Amino acid sequence: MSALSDVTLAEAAAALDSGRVSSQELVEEALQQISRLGPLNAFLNVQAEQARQQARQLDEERQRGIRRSPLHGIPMACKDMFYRQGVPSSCGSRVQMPLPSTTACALRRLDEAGAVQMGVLNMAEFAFNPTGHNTSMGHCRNPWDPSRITGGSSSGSAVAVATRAVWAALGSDTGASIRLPAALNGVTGLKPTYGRVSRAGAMGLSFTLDTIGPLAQSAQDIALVMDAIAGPDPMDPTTAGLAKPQFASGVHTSVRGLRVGIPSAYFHDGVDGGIARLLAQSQQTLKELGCELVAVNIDEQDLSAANAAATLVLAVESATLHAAWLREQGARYTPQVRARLERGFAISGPQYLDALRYRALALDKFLATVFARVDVLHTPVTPILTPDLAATDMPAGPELDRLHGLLTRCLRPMNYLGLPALSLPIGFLPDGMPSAMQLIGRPFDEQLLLNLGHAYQQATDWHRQRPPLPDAESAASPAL
Amino acid sequence: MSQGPANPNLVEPFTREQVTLALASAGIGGLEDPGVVARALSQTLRQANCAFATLPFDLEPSHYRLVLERPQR
Repeated sequence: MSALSDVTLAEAAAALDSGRVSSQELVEEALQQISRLGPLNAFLNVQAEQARQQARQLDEERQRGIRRSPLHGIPMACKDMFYRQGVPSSCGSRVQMPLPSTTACALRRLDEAGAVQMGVLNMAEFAFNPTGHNTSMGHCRNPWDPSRITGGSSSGSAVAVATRAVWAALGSDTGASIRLPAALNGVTGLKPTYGRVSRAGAMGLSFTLDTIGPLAQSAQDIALVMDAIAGPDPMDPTTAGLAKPQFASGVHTSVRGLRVGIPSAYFHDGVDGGIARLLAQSQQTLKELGCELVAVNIDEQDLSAANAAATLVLAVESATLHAAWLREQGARYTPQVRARLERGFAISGPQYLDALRYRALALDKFLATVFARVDVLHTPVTPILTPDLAATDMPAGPELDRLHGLLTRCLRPMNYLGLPALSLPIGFLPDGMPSAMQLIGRPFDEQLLLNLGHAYQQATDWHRQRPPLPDAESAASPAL
Repeated sequence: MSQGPANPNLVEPFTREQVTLALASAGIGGLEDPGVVARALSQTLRQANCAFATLPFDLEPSHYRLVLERPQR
């Protein structure tokens, strides 16, 4: 028997389907967990009454025989950058923005699927840092050790899932922002292929690099959310017209015989010894599942160039999006974010266009050298231990650049290439913090990543671990 | 796709004056020391330069979608 908040989204959905629990009970459990989060500062706004009312309606629908999807009645929450018509979104900033005239496609699809929104989640200001610091909204804190960073920018999304305050959350990933906080908080996170999930109605940071995806306890849970949000959208011209798979029903597919690539260079440079040991253990588990481990030669210079090109593209596109607000409301930005945004104005048009032109060549070469030989690439998420929150609260400059570079070096190139990548928990380091692996796939092959992730999580229980919360022991939580 | 010449604009490092002028032209204040910004951007460009210098002349940004959506396996 598990405490209600311990069960995965898939298990909660099965319990709803069998009538063992109601959406209203799940919402009350979520509210109880949220009330324990306190100084972790994961939520910017909790919509308790709205969630209760929504759950009541969904339970009534179910009694009438209507089940919209497996998410029907499941409590979720979204990073505060998915617009809802007429409702202000902070985007983690004090900058004043007009009220949204439409609702984000991803949010609308979750509404249609019957997910209950518990509130909006903290994030890095304008999703523009990978540490998760936010002096405007108050820093979100890591539940495994509140003196450490959460990783960003989807800081609140990762913390809300890690603490079991919700069964899944939406985040965005422009250079690390789903995978890094997922890794540092011990949850699972998917950065889908560029074009798989509509960005319409979500805050933009970089047209070329932005992706939207879920964070949840397990790969199976991620698949259930992807079933709801993925697919073409006429309001987002970058979405691909490809048919989307049924992700959740496919996750049980055997992974025996899959070729898992272990890169020869770049990804493992400077990896902490403890992280390296956990990565090796995860490789061994994949081998025991019947996967073949294959060494893959990677050209370090190619990935360094892709990382640098991504930096140039992000700088120009974010500066472009923020130009008017920087002129009119510059003082409302935190100094670190404002200074970093301003760099983009110094990059020339030809330099920006060359950074975009190189993308096709870089992807073509990566596909030929990596995915001609293997089905999935296995890498670290980040090579360093989770940094201290206070020690890394620093102004823009070379030291901050170095930290951001280390945190994102294994992640940002995948945004530039546009490839799907899944971050999964693989164990705990001697300092008590969770660590993770990144599985990278071919374009639009999220299904294979989720299959492999699900198989790995059937063989391990790292994704089941949860951080202790104040009074968690004494609180009476219903069992399932 | 034919091979084009290296773009000479990419070889020169950024200067503090360039950064100051660019921000002034954009009507933006400029919080960070322009010398620090110039060094950071120059370093990024150096990392990309070897790849950018040999880009085929007729390669367009839109070619990326063709590669991304090309059937795999």
